[in-house]
Amino acid sequence: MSAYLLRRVGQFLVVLVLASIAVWAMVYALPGDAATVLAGPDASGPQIAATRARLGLDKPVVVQYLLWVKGAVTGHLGQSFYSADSVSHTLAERIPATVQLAVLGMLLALLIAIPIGTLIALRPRSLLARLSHGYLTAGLAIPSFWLALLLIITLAVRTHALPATGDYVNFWQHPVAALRWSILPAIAVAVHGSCIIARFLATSLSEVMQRDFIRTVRAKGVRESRVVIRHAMRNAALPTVTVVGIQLGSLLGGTVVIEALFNYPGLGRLLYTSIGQRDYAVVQGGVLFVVVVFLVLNLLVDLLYAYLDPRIRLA
Amino acid sequence: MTELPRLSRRSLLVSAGVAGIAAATPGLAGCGASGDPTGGAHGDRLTLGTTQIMQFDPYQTNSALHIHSFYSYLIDYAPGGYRTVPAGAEKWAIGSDFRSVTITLRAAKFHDGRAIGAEDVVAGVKRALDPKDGFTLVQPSEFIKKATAVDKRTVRIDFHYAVAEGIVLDWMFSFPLVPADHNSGAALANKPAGSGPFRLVDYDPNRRLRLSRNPHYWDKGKPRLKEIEFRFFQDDQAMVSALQSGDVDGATYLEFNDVAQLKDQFTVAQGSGRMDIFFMNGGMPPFDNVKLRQALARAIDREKIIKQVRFGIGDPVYAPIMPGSAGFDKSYLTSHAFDLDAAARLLKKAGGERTATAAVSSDPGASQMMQIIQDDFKKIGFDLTLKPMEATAFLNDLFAGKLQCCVANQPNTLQSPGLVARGRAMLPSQDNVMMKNQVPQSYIDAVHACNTATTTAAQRDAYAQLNKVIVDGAWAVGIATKKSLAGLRRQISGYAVDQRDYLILDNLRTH
Repeated sequence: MSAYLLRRVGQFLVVLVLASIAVWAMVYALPGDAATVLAGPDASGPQIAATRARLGLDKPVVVQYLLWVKGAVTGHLGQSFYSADSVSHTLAERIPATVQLAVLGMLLALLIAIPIGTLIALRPRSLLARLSHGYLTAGLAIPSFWLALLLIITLAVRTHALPATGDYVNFWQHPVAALRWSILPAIAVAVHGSCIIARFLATSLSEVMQRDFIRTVRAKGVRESRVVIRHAMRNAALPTVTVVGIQLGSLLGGTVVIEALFNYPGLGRLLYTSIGQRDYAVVQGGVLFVVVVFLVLNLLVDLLYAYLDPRIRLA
Repeated sequence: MTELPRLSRRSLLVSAGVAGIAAATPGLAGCGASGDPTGGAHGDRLTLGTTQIMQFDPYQTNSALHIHSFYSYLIDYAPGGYRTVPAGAEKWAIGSDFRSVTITLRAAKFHDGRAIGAEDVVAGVKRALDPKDGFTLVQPSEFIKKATAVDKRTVRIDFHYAVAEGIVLDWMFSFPLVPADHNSGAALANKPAGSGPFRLVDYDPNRRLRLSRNPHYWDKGKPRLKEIEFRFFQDDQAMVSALQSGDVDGATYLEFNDVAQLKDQFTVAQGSGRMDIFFMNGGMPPFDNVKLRQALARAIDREKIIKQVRFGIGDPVYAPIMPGSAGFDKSYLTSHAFDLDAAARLLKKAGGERTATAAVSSDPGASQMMQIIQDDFKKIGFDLTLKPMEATAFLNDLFAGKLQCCVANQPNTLQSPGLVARGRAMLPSQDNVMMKNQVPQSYIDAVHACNTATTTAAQRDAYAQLNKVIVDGAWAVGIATKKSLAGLRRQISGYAVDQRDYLILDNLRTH
């Protein structure tokens, strides 16, 4: 187990270095730089040059990258060109907002997906299952941004029931306000995710329900609810856990379009803005955070596999 | 006796779930919990949606809309014109030889309570003259030789040469009062240090900026509001939705297509804005042919662009000179009006290649505008290929002189027409990215004449000459003004935008 973990950590580091080089190269390949944006559209040539020098953008790209790496290994991810704030602090302010939205979105998705997936697997011909199939088809077909616009128009603009824009309020301090300002973006991200999770759960659960050990358990007179929850669900959970992990990773990586539509101050909006502004250090720091989240979630999913199915051994 | 329907556990759970959802939505809707980050107008508090605000250094920004809230300038122009209003300067006297100005400062205080003094102006001028740190004030201050403190509240500014009164007033209008010991880019990066109507409460670059009333503000009775919050948006539609749903009380810098859906419910305020200009790069073929440029200038349908792209909002311009400027000569709108026959005749005489590529920025409306121009050029036998570009990439290539032609916004909102050559890289006398080393000497001379004309007659002649050389040069062809637009709840009044498009929030109030 420890050898496995060490190997995975080694892989982490390699992926991180490659990702940082790739991100740096891609961002620098974009035409224009932060000085052009920061100096403003009315700036003269000398003003832009002065801004470029002030930001250190007149140094060669490789030198800028190496300076960044030097800072990064000592825990300093650089400074935003715009707010003059440290990247670590900027990310630390955005990450709780994104985590809160991702967790809320994922909880909603699971609340929808588990009953629907179970229902479709156990009562595939019932009216509710057919209606649920319709929900899954619609939920997968409808783009999240369109659903978001629909929610904004119906629940915010027309009825004024909820705010059209999202905002971050710490759930533990003001739970009702936190829900009020993030429920619409959470629904917008949850619907698509719930459909994917429900489909996976339905497929794997219906397969498991046909297996011999289920027949044996039933023959032993175990109650049907216990058969499903205790025996079938645990075996059907493996592929679902993988999907949930990937979905959660995507949500934690920032749902750029949803955050932009709801003006939600999360990581996705930060990255979107920073790319437009060529705020290299923030983009670099943000993308590395996303990479780390994906790697950690992948590892957690692998570890969870071993827990859920003792036959799997990590070596 | 009627038997009551049996309530199963399942139906009980379903009913409870439905009731919970039904209760939750209005519950959340009605919630005005203490944790609410924003809210509507509460008597003396307003929330305005806006595009992102970047910094607090008035030397580095000439487009950030909030800056006038933090800083007092030496003078103001009354909204809608160039009538001078004393601000940081109580009075001023321009020397009879037009080579100096003596300014008496108002007895006022900075936000930190210190008195504003002549030494603060001297330090400010010194920074404005520093090419490495003066940023947007370097060019406007280039006529200044030195600043000297005469006494605690009087400062004398000497010029290198005699300049027009308008140039001095425009400079005073652009000069912010900053405490001497805070007047650097580094000191102002995170915190403003001014004497304007509002003080900084807190700032989150991706979310909001909150301002509170400055109790020491020199203009007694102002500002009227206790607090203003700017909420930052990247997406225009998100801002419009926030306005419509009541999340914000007003939205600034709206797109033109938003106005149609907002005008019945909200007050739509118009600022002076800037101008859409069609630039042709005289440094590269086929636009190095001045006759060809003159021909194409006659094939730009300003009225159609205003009607179809700007939804009828805006005024036609023939050159980068605003209609409110003393240098604006409306007879050019007739003599050089859209005329495809005249354009075709001129193009035939001009000869040369008949194809070019036009860069199209991602600015709203830019694409439609270029398509109208493309269609009209096609009618006279000139093929324009459109190349869409992302905003930063567009600016980068524009400032590097790599674009053959394009439409770009141009500000020229101050009272001196000669300031057309200030700022953006497409119109200066030197380092002009559109004309390279072919900037007409007549243009350089006309700009200089405008900036140094000290008599009414000399100004009239200089402005006429400037108009002529810009129109004849035809590398910067005026299309229309691009007004800045804001939508506000009907209960809000007192909203004003000054000549630079800065928001004046002193007088803002709710009813």
